[in-house]
Amino acid sequence: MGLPHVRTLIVREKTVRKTARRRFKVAAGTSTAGTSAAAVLASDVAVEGAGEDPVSYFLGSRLPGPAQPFADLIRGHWGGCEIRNHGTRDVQWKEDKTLSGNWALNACLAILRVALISVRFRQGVTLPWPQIFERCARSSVPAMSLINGKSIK
Amino acid sequence: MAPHEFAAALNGWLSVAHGTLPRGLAIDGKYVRNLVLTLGLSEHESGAPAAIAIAVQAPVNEETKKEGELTCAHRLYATTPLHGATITGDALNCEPQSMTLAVEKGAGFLFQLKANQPGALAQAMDVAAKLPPLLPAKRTNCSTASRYGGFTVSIR
Repeated sequence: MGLPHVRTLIVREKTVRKTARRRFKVAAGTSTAGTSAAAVLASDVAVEGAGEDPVSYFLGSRLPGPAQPFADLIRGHWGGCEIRNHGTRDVQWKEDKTLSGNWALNACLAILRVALISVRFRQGVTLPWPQIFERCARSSVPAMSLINGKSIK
Repeated sequence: MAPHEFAAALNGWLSVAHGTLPRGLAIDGKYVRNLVLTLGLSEHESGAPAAIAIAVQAPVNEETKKEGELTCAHRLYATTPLHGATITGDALNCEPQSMTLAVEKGAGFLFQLKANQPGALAQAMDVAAKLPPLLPAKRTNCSTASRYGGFTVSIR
């Protein structure tokens, strides 16, 4: 393996009370677990008032390259599963506040919620979830449209 | 309907829409009130699931949680079309079998590396320590960054 192919990315995030600045570097590492050559991503995170370890490490199968795809993957992970999936299930459906202790019932309801997230995406619905709930509660037409593969506006 | 069969039916329906474009898939588990462990592969862009699995009903403790998530992840890798995808996950997924399964299915992976893989972490720290230091942010601009192969993104 030759010299590490280093790329630098700076992501400036402005939050409510503090500004986080992240820098990413992608460098060559060595393979592990018998997989292809691994890339090591080191990110320096400097957050005002935070005393956390400023470096995070990731192990990947893609060869080192531009930093942006790696940064997109890291941010996309949290956006994809934690915010748009788990967060939606907890906030919109209050999944964690279920009153039932029935394992099978809660499992099936979780699957249904996941299916609805997929339906909303597949039909290209851009309405926020509360608006979808209100429209479906007012009339069964939007709900039937979604089930039948049509979008609602 | 049995949850496992329901999940399998949903996964079959979801797999029909899988395209061939590269995509990011986030794998993570979620407990429903410490009762049901669901594990999903979610699209980065939309949060829409690519597949979901339900762990077997078991007492909740750290060891069971770890084994449940990994067991489900391995089952998902084995039964989900992953060609061209890049799977991202937390440090729990950073273990040899998950990596091997993902690569065997034609997917890439990017897992966070923490102390549960001490050898790989030490190696990564060694690689990072040999990197040149990051330039001060105020001295980096778009033109400079692009000249050296990087770039700058500002999010407000």
